[in-house]
Amino acid sequence: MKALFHFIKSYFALLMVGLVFAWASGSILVYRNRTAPPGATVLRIGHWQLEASVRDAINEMARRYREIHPNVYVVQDAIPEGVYGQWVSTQLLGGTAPDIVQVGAMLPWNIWLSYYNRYFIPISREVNRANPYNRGTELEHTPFRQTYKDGMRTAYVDEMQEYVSIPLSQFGIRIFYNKDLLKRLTGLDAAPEDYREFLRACERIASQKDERGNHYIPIAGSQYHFGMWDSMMFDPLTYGAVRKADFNRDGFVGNDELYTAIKTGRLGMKFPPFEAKFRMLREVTDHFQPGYTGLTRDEAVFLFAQQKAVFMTTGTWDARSLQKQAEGRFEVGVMDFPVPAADDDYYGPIIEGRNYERPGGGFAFGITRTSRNPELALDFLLFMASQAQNEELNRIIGWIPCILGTEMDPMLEAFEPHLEGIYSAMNLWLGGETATKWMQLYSAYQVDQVSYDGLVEQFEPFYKEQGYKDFMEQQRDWRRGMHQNERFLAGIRARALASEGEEAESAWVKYRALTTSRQIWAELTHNRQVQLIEKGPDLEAVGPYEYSPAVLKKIRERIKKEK
Amino acid sequence: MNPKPVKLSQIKHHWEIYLFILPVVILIGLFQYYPASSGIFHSFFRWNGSDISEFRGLENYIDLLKNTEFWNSFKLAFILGAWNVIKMIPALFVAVAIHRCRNERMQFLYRTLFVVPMVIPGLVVVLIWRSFFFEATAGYLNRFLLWSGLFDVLARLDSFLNWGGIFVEGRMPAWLGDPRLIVTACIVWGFPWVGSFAVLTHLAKLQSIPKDIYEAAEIDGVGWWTKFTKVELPLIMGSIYLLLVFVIIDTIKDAGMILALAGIHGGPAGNATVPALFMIRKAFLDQQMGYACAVGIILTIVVMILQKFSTLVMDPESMNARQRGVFRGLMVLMAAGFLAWRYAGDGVQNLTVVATVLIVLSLPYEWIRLLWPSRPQAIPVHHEGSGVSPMGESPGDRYMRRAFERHSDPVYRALSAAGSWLLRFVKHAYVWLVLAFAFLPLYLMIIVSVKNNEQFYLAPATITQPMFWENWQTAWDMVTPTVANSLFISTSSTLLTLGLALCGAYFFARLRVPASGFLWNALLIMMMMPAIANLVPLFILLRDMSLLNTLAALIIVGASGGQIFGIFVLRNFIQDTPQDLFEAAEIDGANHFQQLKMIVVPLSGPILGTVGVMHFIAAWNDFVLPLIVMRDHARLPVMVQLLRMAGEYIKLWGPLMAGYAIASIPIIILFVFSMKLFIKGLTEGAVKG
Repeated sequence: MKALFHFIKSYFALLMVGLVFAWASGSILVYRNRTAPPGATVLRIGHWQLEASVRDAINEMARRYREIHPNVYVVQDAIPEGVYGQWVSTQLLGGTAPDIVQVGAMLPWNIWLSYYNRYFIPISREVNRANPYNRGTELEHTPFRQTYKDGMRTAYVDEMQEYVSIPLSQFGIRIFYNKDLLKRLTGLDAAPEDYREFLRACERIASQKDERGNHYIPIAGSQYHFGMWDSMMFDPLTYGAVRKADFNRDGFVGNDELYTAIKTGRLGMKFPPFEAKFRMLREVTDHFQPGYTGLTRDEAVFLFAQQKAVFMTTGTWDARSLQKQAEGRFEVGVMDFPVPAADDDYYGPIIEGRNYERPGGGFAFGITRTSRNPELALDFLLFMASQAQNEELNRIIGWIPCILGTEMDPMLEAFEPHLEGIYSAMNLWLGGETATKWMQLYSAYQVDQVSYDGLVEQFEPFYKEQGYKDFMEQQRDWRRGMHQNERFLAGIRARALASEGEEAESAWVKYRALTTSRQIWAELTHNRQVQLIEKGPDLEAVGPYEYSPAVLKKIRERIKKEK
Repeated sequence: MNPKPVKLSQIKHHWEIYLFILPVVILIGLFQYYPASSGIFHSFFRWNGSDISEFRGLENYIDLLKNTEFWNSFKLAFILGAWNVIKMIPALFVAVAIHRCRNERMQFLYRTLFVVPMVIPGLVVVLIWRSFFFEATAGYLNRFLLWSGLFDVLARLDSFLNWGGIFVEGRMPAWLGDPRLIVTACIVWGFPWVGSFAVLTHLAKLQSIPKDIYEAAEIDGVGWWTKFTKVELPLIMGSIYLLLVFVIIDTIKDAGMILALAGIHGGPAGNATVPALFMIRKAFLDQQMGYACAVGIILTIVVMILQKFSTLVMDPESMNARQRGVFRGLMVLMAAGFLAWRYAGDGVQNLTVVATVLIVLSLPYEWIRLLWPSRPQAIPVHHEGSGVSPMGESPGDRYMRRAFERHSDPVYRALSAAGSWLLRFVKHAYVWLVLAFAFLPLYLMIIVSVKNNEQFYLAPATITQPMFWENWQTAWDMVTPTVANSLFISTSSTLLTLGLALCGAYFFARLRVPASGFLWNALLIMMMMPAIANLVPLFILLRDMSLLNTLAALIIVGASGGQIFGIFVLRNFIQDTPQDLFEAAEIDGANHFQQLKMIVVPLSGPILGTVGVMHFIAAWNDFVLPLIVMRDHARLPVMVQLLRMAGEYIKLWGPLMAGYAIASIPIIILFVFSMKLFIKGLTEGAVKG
């Protein structure tokens, strides 16, 4: 006994280390076995939705799916937004990405595009077949993509001419407001729809104090919420740039088109619609609480829930939780983003309408090429996108289902998208150095560290000069997609050559149509842009929807003659 | 003892000693040298780590030199480095204050009390500062500024000095949201900046000062300040220099804490971007791996230059006059090149700053040394030949006579006693004040861990009822698997490191066999190379070896880096072991394995303990590599899990804080149990000053 005691005393530290090591090893083994039993097929799904209800909903889907496929276990990797971009990049690059990955945000679009090309399985063929999990419903024989409320438009990647993801929910963004507080502080029964009225209401709110002597905050904001104001309210002011920069005349101004327009001098940062955006940004963010750029999403929600702020913007994803937090204390209203009136002195001539909202789906997932079970991954996504399961999934989360014939929470009806409107035409994000520079200057502008003139002075020359490299990088990414597309087209051509009759006819039509739309027009557009840029500034040039001075002169002369 | 030289012809009798270094060579070659050389290679390519690899020559480097953000990141690193040097002062004072405690129990109590809050993982402290102190609307920093009236002072200064409205009445500054404040936040966090390693190193050095010196000083009537400046400071200067080098270089190459505090984009306007963070962003967000490799190479070069510079300042004799001249000439040439480039109108703005730094670095280091007193001269010394005073009394005698007269004076004695009491009071008050600040994060962690969110929002810093102890259960469920992973990784990595380092150190310390000089130099170069600079190629290597998302990757990479420092420390220790012992063992027929087992291992307990504790803590606290290479929740180390928990949309503060506390407990226990061993190891030369 004495010897044992002596032994323990002498080797106490080593024994402790041994014990701790044994416990750690045991725990690791136990925990791994708990995740999925040995021999089970594990489907991993990575996403950034850290709301508890999302995890619960996916778990419920996994449980239901296991009823059909008893050996399949779904494991979630829920990653915070702040590190999701880096996480997904390293996992894709390292070949360790989960089978299913949430896509479309947290990284610049050009990076996603390159990832889609390299690391994701296109599902264009599959989306044209019926979803087997819709059997017994009115959607039984409908091609999968047409079972979506938006025809699955948001899942289509133009640059790749492929579908690469399956959306599971539909989102909308609105302004939430405290009805009781608004009435008490401003006397208004309803939320102001006009922009100037909205600003006046904010001023009235800011001038009043609560029982502790603190000023009320008109708008609860954070860096997270700022993005929504930016895209829903400030960005549409820039729509006027479409006339000068929509070179391919598809109705949108891509980042490549905007670069081409600015580089060739057709547009400048001092373009009035661009200036208007920045002016509105300043006017509205002056009513955010101080230091909002340093606050997190939940801190802003807290201010709103504590009735210290009247307005807050957020999306359908927060609607249920906000209602719950306000229950029994105050009534939550949902309003649209206020728009300047047409006769507004400054914004009137610039604003052309309300922000257009795609009725498309979000919460989209792609299947990675490194997946060991890609068919199973697709099957699970189809399961979640079936009419019954999609309704249930979104019911648990509190979001809007994206499949036709599903029912949603009546509270979410205010989020029905505006199908008529305008959209942003100021996408300066080319990736690389210009993106970093833009991000830095933009956040400096948000806190009033730099004026708009200063921002333009610092950014525009840099963008023109350094942006060329980023622009060309984007062109290379597009060309890589073209190579893949050529392989796809070769397959169709081979089928056309190998078959006869109607099948051959159909394949040839498809081949010609796709070659024209995906290869020839795209090649022409891109070549034209590169040519324009390489030729240098052409200040005399006009935008795609503008008449040149010579043409205008001719028109005037003709009108004169006709008169 | 110096290593015994072994000629090539004698190698057949000692060939087995190469087996000691073989695993070290394999690990370092594979996980350190291969990524480093791959990094150099790929820095000349436009490489995305996957399917794009196009040769660009020097274009990556040219682009980098033109990149304002890159230069700004270095500027910030130097600013933070300078501040980190200033931040060393509180730790030094704390060590001296503890050391001066005459009561041994009090000294032990202080030592123990200091260790507990100081060993809370740095990441946990950062996250607490981020959530509690820097929060804009109700954070403690803003509350303190308001309460103390400092806010008004700052607001006046703001308007007087035209800071641009950072401090404006009625508007709380957003420390992490304002581009103008983010750098200050990076400096302020962690107040009072008393790190356990620094305090314990200083303490170990102070404890090694012979008591005779103190007794002699006291007999001579030396005051407390003179004792500090003339006795203690010069004698612990070695450890201060060493920490200084560590601090500057760590700041230049660190990315983790800034990443946790400001995020991967370097906070608002990217103003908190340090070079390593810039590199990570380029590699893993922008997919510019080749460019990131070039950043890593430049980072390595800068760190090496800094290290060389520090060595030269500490020991200018290590270079001969010619070498120094060439070194300085090169720096002047580079500076001239940068200035010429700048003024040639190429639009590169910040190279003037770099050129200035280079010119300063090229100045003769002796000038800098002259600024520093090299020899303490506390008491007047009677020099022979200095003559005697006209009264026939030497200066020394006169000094002693006056001191004796002073001490005979009752008023002086009373004043001296009061002064001594006051000094003791100030000393203890200072220690308790620093302790209070040091314990604040721990206090908040514990208090908040038993609150629900409502209680937290209403009264974050005081005890509220009821207490939600179930938060600890929730946290335990959330972090247990990751704590187990971290324990497994840290313990395995530490054991592997110690084993390899001991064998490697034995190889270098015992014999000078062919190639040992080459290998030693190769090891020294690795010591200077910042590990983070090789992150990108290391990631690719781990991918190619199918080690991504495995605990083995973290263990092996941790051990391959950690053993370098271990070998360096242990080699000195083994060299100090009497040669007779080895010779006697050899006569008795002991081979090298037996010599290692029978002589080195039994003697090196404390030093192995110190190296082991340091490595364990480093492995426990590391989160940059795991953040990059790990995927599965079941395999995450605890630090990454904490970072993820802090990123939840709606934070559950109670379980979150309980999770932080649980993550800190193993390190606190480790330090409490090993503190004695650790200090003994430091005193015996683990960190030679």
